[in-house]
Amino acid sequence: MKRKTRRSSTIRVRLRAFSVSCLWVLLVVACGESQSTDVESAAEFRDAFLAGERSWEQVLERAAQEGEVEFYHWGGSEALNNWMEVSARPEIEQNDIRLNLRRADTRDVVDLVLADMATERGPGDGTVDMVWINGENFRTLKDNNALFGSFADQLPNARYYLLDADDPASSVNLFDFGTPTDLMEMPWAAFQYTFRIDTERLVPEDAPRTFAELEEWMQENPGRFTYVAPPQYIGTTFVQTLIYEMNPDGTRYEPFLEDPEDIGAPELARLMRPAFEYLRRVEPYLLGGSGDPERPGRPEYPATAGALQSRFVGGEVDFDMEFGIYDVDREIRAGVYPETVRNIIFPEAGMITDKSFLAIPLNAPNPAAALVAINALSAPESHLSKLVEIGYAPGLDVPLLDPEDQRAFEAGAPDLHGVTAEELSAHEAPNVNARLVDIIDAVWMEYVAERSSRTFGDIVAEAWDAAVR
Amino acid sequence: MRRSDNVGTRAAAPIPTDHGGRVGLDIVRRRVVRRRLAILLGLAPAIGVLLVLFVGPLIVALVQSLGYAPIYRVRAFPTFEYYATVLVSPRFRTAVVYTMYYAVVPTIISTALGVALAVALNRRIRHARVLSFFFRLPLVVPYLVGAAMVGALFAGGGLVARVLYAIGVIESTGEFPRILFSAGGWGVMLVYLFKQVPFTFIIVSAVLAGVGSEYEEVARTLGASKTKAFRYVVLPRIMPGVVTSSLLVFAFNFQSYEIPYLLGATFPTTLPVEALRRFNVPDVTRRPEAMAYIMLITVLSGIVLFLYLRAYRRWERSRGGV
Repeated sequence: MKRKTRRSSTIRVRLRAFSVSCLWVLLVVACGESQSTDVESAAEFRDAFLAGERSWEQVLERAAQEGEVEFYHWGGSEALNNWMEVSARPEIEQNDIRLNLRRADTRDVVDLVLADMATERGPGDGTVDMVWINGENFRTLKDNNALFGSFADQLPNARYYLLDADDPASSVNLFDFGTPTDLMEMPWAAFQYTFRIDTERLVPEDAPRTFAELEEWMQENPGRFTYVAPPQYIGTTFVQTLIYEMNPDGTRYEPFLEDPEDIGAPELARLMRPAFEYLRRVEPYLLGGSGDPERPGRPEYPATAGALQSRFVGGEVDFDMEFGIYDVDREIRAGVYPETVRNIIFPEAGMITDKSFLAIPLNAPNPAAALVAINALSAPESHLSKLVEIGYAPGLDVPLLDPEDQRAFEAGAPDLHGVTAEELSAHEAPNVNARLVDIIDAVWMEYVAERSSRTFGDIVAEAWDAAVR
Repeated sequence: MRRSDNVGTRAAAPIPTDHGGRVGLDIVRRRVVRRRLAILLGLAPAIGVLLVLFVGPLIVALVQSLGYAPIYRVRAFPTFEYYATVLVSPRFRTAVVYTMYYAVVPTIISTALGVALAVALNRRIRHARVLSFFFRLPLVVPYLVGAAMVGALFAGGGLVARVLYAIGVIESTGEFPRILFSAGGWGVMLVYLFKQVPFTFIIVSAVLAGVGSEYEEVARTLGASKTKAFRYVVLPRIMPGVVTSSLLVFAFNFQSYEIPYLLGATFPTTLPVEALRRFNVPDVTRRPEAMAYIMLITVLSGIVLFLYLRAYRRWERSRGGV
């Protein structure tokens, strides 16, 4: 018995010694390897690339060395997730890069980048290589100097994009909710905010074309309309659209592209007041409202776009609203909408159009691979398959393509169900300044949802203070 | 509490205390120390998890709420500015009232129903087993699925409204009363009850099984009425179970955000929903406000639970300190 234990304990000691020496060997090998490679650091690569000192071949070579790319994207759409696997993956991976798709809420990705920065993880040491982003999230990264830099015009596929600061037609590619992109993000998909009706219930000729007509329609059909509650962005965009039409100067979106700090709280209150008075005035006629102009009743604001959609499909309300002109086609094919659903041109004063982008954080661990991946996703073929397969309008500018490719995009576009591409582009309007979003949300919450008794001017002033501070 | 006292006395029992003299005392002392160390070591994994997953985030939230959040470029530590902003806003006060309302009402109803069910099924009635199986079923359904079910059933265009419309009780689905998304919060409470009645039922059933029916039978043979036997014999014995389950239910309802977010009104709403809204404001420099909300939720919930436990202890003591 005793001998046996002793022997087994010596074996154990030897095993331990062996594993320790193995570890040493590994360590030495690892050190030797890291010493022997003389790849430039991510920070050096960044400086050289941004200074235009790296050819695309060098970028490709480095990308293959990096070997993988961490792509974070909003994963809330099954159709998009499928497209990523089936189309985006081979397009990126043919460059000898392994694509790691990370589905996450964009806000969480921003937090992740900022948290990395806070622990002093600079260029090359972060977690995120590229992210699908726009609006306030982009602004947050930009304000925190957390972006890789102005890369967009240096990608080979940049020739399919209008990126000329002197050409007003480029502005949709160079401004993101009023924030200059400074070429730190690449346009990826275009979205226009559309309203939808079901022709079974509402004849398109009877559908309102302005918010003023919508108010009359609501009074005649109480309880048949509602909108998503801000701060959900579908709701915020609804309020923005209304603000444009109700602009007392008749200049629609123009003043709202400016930074609220420059506009000033009193002027902002003057510009927004008619829209918010409208929202209070129509409350009795919303879903759950009293129908009596003297009392609001209990109007019901769905918390998400999905919740509004289910009320629309369930027959409670007659209007649905979302970003995406090809949504109707996709939802009909998916069996979510009945075949009688149509897009309408509403409101005539302007339907908000914006692009979403692909950006690279400052501390991307694989910056070259991110550049190569974004270039791959900027190719016409990629945008065409995205359009055909999942109905995402292209982020590139189709007029810059070869005539043959242009025809392919025209032929491949899904049905617009009730409107034409010309009508839609004739009614385009840009998004508001990103800093206004917080103000609109806060004012809506207090003035409309809470029915605060404070004056409108005070409410706007407080929200303005909080946003500008 | 009582149980842990037992453990303590049992642990002390085998130590020889009749040695007398210094040496013996030393041995005793050393053994006690060693035993305490062993207990500490044994508890270490649990304490570690508690520290990492609960105390850690709480401290982070506290520090951020006091103005130290370099991630968001906030370096105002220490400041009570964020607490002041939150506490003076009327929305906070409304949210406190509604949080209490959403937490207390379902807790009372689910406790009453759960106890009633457990007591009823503890009797020898037919199919008690099958019934109790069915009453347990909702426990395996997540809250979110419960919310989806309540939504599908009770929305204005939901199943119940459509059935009522089909059989002619209401003339259009629009006449169906607004159960969801209203300040009354009936949709929220339906989900809570759906999950929490079975929860209370299971805990109280387990306690009842431990108590046995002998005392009640004795009381009954000595002439107590059914209600009196329940009030004076059964209820005091299951009270620990009732208090435990209602504490857990209350704590959950107080801090749950997803159900009020999905099925409650936009305004007024509860503290956790307000906290989440603050957290989601794009301007990250305002995140400490959300953290102040979170600390206030924790403190308020703690105070209520403390008062409830103290009231229960007093009641126990007044009954002669079991």
